[in-house]
Amino acid sequence: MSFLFPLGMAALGALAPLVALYLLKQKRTEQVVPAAFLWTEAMEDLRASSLFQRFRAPLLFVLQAASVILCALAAAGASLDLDLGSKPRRLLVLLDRSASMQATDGGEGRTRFDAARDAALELVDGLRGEDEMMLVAFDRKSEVLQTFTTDGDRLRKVLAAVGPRDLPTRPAQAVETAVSFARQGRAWDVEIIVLSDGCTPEALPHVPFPVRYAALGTSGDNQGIAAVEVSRQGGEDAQCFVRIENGHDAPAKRTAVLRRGAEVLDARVVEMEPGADATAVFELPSSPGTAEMSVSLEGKDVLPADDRAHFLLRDEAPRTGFVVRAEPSVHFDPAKVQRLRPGLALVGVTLAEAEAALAAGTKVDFVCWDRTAPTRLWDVPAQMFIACLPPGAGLSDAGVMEDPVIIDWHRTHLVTSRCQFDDVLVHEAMRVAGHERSLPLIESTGGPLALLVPVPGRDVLVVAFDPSRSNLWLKLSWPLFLANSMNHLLAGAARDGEESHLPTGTAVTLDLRPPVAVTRPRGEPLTLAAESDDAALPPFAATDAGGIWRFRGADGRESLRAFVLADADEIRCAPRTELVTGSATVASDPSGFRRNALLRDPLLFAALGILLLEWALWCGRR
Amino acid sequence: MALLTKDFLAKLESLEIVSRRIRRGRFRGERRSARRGASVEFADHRPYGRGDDLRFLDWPLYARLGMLMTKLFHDEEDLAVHLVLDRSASMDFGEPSKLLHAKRIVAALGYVALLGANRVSFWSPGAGSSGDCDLRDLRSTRNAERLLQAIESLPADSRHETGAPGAGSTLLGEPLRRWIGTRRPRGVVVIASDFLHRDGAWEHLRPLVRGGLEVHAVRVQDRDEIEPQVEGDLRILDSEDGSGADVTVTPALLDLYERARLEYDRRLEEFCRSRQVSLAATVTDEPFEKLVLEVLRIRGLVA
Repeated sequence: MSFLFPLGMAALGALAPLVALYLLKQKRTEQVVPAAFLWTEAMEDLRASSLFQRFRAPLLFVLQAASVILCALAAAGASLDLDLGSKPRRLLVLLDRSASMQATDGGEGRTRFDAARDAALELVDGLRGEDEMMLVAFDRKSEVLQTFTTDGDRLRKVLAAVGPRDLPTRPAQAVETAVSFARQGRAWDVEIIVLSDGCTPEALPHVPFPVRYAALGTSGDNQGIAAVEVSRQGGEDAQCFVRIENGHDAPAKRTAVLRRGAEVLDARVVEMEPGADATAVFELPSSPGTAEMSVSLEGKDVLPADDRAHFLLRDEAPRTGFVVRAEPSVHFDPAKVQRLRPGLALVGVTLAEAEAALAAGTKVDFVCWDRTAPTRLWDVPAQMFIACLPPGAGLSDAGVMEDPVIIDWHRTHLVTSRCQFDDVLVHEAMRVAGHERSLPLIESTGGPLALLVPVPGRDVLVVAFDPSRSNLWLKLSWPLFLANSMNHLLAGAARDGEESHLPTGTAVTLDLRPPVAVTRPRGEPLTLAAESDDAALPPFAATDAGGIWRFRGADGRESLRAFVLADADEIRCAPRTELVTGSATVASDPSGFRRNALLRDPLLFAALGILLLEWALWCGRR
Repeated sequence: MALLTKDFLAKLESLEIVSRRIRRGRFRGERRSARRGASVEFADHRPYGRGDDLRFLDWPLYARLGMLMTKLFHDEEDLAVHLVLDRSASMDFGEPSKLLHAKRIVAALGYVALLGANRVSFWSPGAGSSGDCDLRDLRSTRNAERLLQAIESLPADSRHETGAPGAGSTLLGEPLRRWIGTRRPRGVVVIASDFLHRDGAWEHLRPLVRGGLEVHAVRVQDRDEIEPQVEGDLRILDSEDGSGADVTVTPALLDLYERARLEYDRRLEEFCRSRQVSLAATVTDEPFEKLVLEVLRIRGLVA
């Protein structure tokens, strides 16, 4: 037997007044009678007639004391060891601290994370002798909170200090970490315990050890902001596109409210089918300087963390770009294109000039590789490849498509919205291979003609045909397509420190003089210091909370950054009842975590029963 | 007189103490004695002896048989009536107390005995400062008032305080044996007590029976002894020897008490029956007049 709260044994102190009362009670009322021997004989007969009666005098006291002792044991959290294995155990506890663990359906008003922590504490309380436990927390990354230890107090302190963060769930790394640690403990009974809601898109690796899994939470009634995009057409007021997802299996209706600081600017009512999404578009008012904006969903659901997204509306900074071409083109004249995207200064250069400038460290925001592919993929925020392919992006030229017929295009994407391609005739185009991870924007009978290709850190736009060898450049859709493309590419390609927002967990480079005072979104202060006085600050990656972060350098200069959770997998937070590890499936079994059976309820029932028995005996004596 | 009213005393004048046997008295009285004496009631003949009073020769018998026979007559002597009153601490219970009830009975019987020209003795042992009350050989109704006042003024023995065994027991046991040994009583003994003793009261009555006395036992009890009105957790203390017992009064215990009490009564009655001791029991909530006028008459103590 072990005790969860040994201090509860202090309840045994109640025995002292009980004994005192018993001793006082022993001073019975004295009754003088003519002859006591008749009573003595009767008492002897009574004792002789029943063995039970022999103990009757102190029996009530014994019963009362027993009930007090049982209550004290219950208060001390007495528990019975059910696992009587002889081998010491090694428990690897993987604790999910992602955003979805902030859902408030953990039971008894707790969050899922609270429930996970309680389950972990139960495991700590169940450690015996040489049993060891290791704690690994995970969200988008994993972190070893505590290596294997038998020290229950240390584990409890670690668990008390850890909390959920506004980050997505990526448990694979944590599982790999756990497996590597588990391999070191062959002398123990190793077990990996996953305390999570299982809301992750990641496939977990195979785990060659026993795995137990507790699916925490009960509800998927949640809607959240899955994406925020601030788009600014050149010379126009910015727009904010907010994608709201319904993670619930029932229709939902929410109101999205746009605020500048605490001031409500606008609101949109969005209705969503089960599992579907909706977009709310807000016109953002122009304002000098930097405005702290937010979009929030009014109403309640189980996960408040994804109901608000903060972003910063900044003055538009001038942008520069190259149009890299071997010869002038009729379809991409920098002077004309510049009119489509005011604020973007484009310069026509040759491939050699462009690559020389980029190699020399020239910072440009946009490069259009017009029928001239670079020798490598340069670190440029926005890039567009016309009739050529980005190197190193996994794409290859699989030949020429003759007269491909456009059959469809992405009608809601920003790049192709409001464009018409149904009467466009393309003479020839590249047949692009390896585009499975890409998003096709214009589809033809021979394959995609325009596609967004993910490259490290961003997307690049690939147009697989030469517009001058089609009638597209003669149509209205072409400048619209170009303007949309540049807006889309540049919207997601803000320079460091000029982004409207970043995903939570993104590391940021701070161009501030250390030490830097950091104020987290909820006001908690933090100080960043460089390794030496003249050293630059390392990238700051602890951006684990959604909201506006304030960074103030030693010289008083302040920099604001907004971080947004915006993760669809966190929004669809209905707990998964199964966890797939490799080819194995682990069903959730929260009840299986109790290696120690808590005896609180049986003890309390026993104490109550004893008190009832004592009461019955007392009544019987009267 | 507080113990007995005049009306009751008047009723007592029609009663007399009855002895089942003819006993020798000390003085002349109104009872036939075993001794041959000078009464007019013929008892027997015996051969004439020199010195016999010639007036008692049975001349008609001499005429018929030619034998000189002297007529013998019953003698009439007084009857010794010993009244013994237990005033031990155990008698000081109840309302009215057992002692008061016993006093009235003893006083009534003493008065009846004096009316019958009996020789009345009264003895009541006492502990402590009160000491024994011992009135001897009271005769005639002139002593009635003395007797009754003596009885009335007797206090009950103080209850046991010290805890020494036997400290509160004043009648049964050693005092009674001492009284028998020193007084060697003859005649009728009326002993009024509750006859409660740890060793059994009958054990202490044996010396009386062995002494050839005609013993009449009047047992006085309180209703609470028969049907105890107690409840809860108690420390029962014996009024006489201070011994105690912790009891929790339950119906089962009361049943066992009742059983123990009845067993005690049975053994007392059996002793009395086998030793020809008349036993009359009374309870303090019953009128003592009824006992004296009816019960004792039935028991053969008075007629």
